[in-house]
Amino acid sequence: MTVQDYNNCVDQYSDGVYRFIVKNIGHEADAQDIVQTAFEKLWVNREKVESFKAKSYLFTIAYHLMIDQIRKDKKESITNNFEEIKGQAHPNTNSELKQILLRAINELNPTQKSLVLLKDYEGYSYQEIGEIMNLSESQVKVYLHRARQILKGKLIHLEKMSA
Amino acid sequence: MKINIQNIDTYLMSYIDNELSLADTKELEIFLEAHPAYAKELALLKQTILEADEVVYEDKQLLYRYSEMEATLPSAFKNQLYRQETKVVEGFFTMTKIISISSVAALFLLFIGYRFYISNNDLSNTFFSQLNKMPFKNSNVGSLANTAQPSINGKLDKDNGEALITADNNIIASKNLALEKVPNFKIVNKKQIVSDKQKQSDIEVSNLIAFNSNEQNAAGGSISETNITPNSNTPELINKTIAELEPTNNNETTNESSKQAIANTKTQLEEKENYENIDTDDHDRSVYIANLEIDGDKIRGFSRRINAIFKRNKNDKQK
Repeated sequence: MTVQDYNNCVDQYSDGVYRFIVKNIGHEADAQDIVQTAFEKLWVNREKVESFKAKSYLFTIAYHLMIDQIRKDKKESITNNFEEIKGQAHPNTNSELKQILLRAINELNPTQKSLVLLKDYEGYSYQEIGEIMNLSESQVKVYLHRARQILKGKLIHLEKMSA
Repeated sequence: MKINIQNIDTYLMSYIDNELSLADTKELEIFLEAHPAYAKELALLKQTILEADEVVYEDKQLLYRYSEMEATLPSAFKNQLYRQETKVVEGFFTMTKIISISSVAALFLLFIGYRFYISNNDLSNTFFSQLNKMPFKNSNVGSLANTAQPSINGKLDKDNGEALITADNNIIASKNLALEKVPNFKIVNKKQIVSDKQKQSDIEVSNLIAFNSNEQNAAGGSISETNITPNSNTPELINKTIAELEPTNNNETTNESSKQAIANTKTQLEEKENYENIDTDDHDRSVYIANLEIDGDKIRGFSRRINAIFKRNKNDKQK
């Protein structure tokens, strides 16, 4: 990978990596640190990483860094932070359904949340998600379906409550 | 048809995740047309899909890298910067080892010196005991007996000078050694193994005979003047012989007493100790420690090599 390839990766993937992390942990500063660390590792290993695998490499590194950060800040409440981030990062997406959905996602466990985010935000396939999260394809499928069922149930419940 | 009511949920989930093939998608659409209730289920599941938000990472400038960042130093310059860890090889002759080896060597030398001292004492003791037990030569037996007898007994006549040989055989203080006047008296400083006891006894017998005859000629005058202090075997033997001879101072009983003296002498000579033969040749530098023989030349060569190693080590350290 050349310098130009690396800089292209910055342009193409930095936003996505940051979004994935900040939606997961809900903390901007920590998310920025994780993104910087992930790209630093990509730069160091640029000779080994091919360009077409750079995105997967970045998300993998960022995901594992995020897991470490979550373990470090286990006591920290993610839900409140997520709501704060929601207001800052998405000032124009204030629909009621989205709020309900974001609240429901915050009640998922970190693995399910990452699965949903990687699938919905980044559009990764089951196989790619499995590579990033060290899961098998069938595990990704099962966990993701379970997360969808939870979200569906939450949506139904919240809609009934709001109605 | 693969899709049915039991597996419709899996197909619906795979559908919203875009994991269905074209064929399965078409089959699902046909199924949903036939079952509108599952179409509502699909619409509800689609609501669980998050819309991609526009989140911008603002610090991209921190992530960019530039080609000048790849600038590397030339290898020749890098080689000048390299530092190799030098292994500190501790020499064999450290200060503690030198001290310990020196102390061991000093102890060894002290032990050898002590052994030398002990062996020299033994030699001197052996010499004097040998001197006291020394049989005299035949050629000048009469005169030897005349001169040796008083010296053995402890006192000499005034004509021969004053000589004192202590009974312990350790100290000789003499102004005029009578022994020097005896031409055939040979000081034997070796321990001799008297292998031929008969020969020695014959010599002793002849000495005694000569001594006896001399006593007869002297008419016992000198004997009475001597102060007999029998502490060793030979003076005791002679003293005993003299004591036996003294009461029979006449010519008639001389032969019988002589025979008795000879018999006594023989029996006592048989009881004498065997002496070892020590070679005191100057060229022999062997040191006997216990049963080990250590060559003096080899020890000297060994010490010379050790000194050479010390010097070499010292020179290396100075360098």
